[in-house]
Amino acid sequence: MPEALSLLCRVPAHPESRCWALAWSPSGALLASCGGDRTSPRCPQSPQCPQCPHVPVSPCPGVPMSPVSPQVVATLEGHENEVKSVAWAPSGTLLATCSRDKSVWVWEVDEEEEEFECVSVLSAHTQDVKHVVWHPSLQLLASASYDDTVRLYREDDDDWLCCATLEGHTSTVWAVAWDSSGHRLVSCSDDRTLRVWQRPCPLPVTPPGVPCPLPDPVSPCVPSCPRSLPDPCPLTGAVATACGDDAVRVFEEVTPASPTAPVTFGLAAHVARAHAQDVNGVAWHPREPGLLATCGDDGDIAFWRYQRPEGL
Amino acid sequence: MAERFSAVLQLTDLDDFIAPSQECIKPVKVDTKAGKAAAKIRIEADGSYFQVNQDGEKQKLEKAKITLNDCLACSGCITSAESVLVSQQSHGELCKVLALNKAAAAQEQKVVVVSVSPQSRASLAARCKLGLLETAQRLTQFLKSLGVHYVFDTTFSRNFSLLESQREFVRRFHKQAEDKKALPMLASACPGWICYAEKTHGSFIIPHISTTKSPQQVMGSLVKGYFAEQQHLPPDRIYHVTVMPCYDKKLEASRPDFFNQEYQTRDVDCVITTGEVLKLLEQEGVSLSDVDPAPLDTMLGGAAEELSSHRGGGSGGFLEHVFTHAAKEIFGIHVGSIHYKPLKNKDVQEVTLERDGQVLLQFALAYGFRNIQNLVQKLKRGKCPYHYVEVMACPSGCLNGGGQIRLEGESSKEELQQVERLYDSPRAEIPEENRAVRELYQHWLGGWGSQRAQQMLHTQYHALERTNSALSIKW
Repeated sequence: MPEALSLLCRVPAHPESRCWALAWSPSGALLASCGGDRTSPRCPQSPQCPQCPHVPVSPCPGVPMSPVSPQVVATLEGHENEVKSVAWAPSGTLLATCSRDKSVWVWEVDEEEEEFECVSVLSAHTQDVKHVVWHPSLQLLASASYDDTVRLYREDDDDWLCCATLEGHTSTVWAVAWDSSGHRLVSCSDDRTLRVWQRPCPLPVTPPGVPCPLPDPVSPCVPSCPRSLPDPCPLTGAVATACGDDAVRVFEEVTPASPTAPVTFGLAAHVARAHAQDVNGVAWHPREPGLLATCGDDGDIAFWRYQRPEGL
Repeated sequence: MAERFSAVLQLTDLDDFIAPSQECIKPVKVDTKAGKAAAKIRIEADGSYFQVNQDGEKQKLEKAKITLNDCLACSGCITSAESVLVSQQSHGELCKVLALNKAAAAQEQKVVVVSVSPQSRASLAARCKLGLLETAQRLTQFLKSLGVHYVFDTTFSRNFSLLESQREFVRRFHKQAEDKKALPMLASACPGWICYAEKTHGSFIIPHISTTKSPQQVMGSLVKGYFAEQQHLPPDRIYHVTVMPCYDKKLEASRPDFFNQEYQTRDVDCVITTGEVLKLLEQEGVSLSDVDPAPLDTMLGGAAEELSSHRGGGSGGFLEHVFTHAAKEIFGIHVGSIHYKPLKNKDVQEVTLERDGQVLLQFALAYGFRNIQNLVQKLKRGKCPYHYVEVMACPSGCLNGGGQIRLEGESSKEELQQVERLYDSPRAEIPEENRAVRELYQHWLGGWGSQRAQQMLHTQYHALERTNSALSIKW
């Protein structure tokens, strides 16, 4: 099975630190990663910022199959602490980051100039912000936080503002996701519930506290790693997981024995020591089938080539 | 309490929105003594801690103590320090001082001076639906009825800040070849920005910051220096209060650089915000429109008939004055009116001086945290094209400061426009032409650029090392 997932290259993107999450730009030209260095050797000249959280953006290993060695094209500085999550707007012109410093930042991207300018610093949350995600079609941003809320942001005049606060969870909200139409938002929390929120009026459509045990029963490794959701590839349907046991796994839907049999997934690839420490994030390339990026507590980003094994 | 400070300060630290002594991360020196390995610690009913050895011997344990100075010197948490500072500098504290003063023996009484910023005056005028001059006159009367002796206007001290900034810029411009950090020069009047720069970018950014004191701190030097001499009083016999549009000014007044060691007194003893003046009025049950107008005090004696202002907007006009002066002084070009070109948003604008298509001067204003952020990043990457930047921590600048009064039922945009109109209503004066300012330079400071002028009108900045204590890590 190892040959199903082969390593293309490995980049020490956040040396001496962790890398928390990854996001490909919609065109697939850039990969944004985020993390936080406690004692960063990357900025020895600035002892005032020992945290040195940064979001290096590496160009895609690209087409064809063998990637040129990825390079950091920009480091986005400004957050006062670890950067927990990063997300590209569908347009590719905006990037959002969130951090333990309780803030959410929106950056404007000039992909050609490789310039990133901060357009807004949003301090609506009162605690650590865990996850940011863009609406699939609108310029609407959602964030999840340790303050038990989800907040939505939109552009107003020449700044951004928090336009809704979704309250109801009784513990940390770890992650949020939109459905493909963008009408509904789902949030998952440490209170062991999922909540589904419906636009335009942000009310929960499920009664509060419907127990929906996390994690997802499909992927056996998620229990040890609640901070990252499994990533299904939009192109092939393969599901990749990041895991606290240092491993990266890929699951594929198994052709059912009969049309009435329940859908099952089978393990298609498993790299036991994909990273030297916990794996924190996985991201499939949006255009190139089977190109996978992973990141972990070792601060590395690894690029993989996945091929569905024969006879699965 | 923390949310009153500018966003820049709130963001500067993270584990910090705490009350003093609650979750302080300041590492405390512990004297360890070699001794018996095992001991129990017992908490007595009164809350004191005792160490009980195996043989039953009891020893009282010392409590770790954190002083205000520890707080201010620590980069860990600005908010613990500031909650202490806010209680030291409030309208309540002013009332206490005034009450004590009335009860004190004649030779122990202090002369109480209040210096009002023009931004605060405009905000109060908008709230009380009065003209600016009327507001100034009635506020003077109200403060005097409480026991204040003199009420001054920081527009006067701003003349010095503007003149010194102009001269400092020209000096820096001429030495840009040998000193890479001479330019861009960054404005120094905003304490929120200064605090952020010192804590987050320290020695990298400090050389760029103008050493000129802010109007508040120049006023401090004038009141505790010149005015005290005129009154034949030692500086500690004057209690100096400023009224400011901004909470961060309380932190500025507390900087050790503005503390007089010899007389153990601050240049500005207490800063209250515009909103706190309103509270004071409400507390006394007084409406400003019912107070009789009183003549306005001036520092050189005699009453002022009218108010004045400076050109260049509600944050003090630093960019405009430095620009006009530099154009004339360095290039011999007279600038009549200045054209501001808005960039990404209304809080970042550019001003350019050109001759025959060649850019001679390029200035910018950058207000609010996001624009400060982009400026700092540009500087770090060596991509900052500006000679001078007027940096202010608050979006829209000082008229929109955190200490200003929010009007009821009005949209913040209209409200701000109304305050701007009032602020701009007086005649704009030219600092070079102010006779009183010239006289002070000549007779009190000993001329332009004298050592005394340097000492009275300039200050310095200190990079703060971050405390890297494992205790500060919170999950």
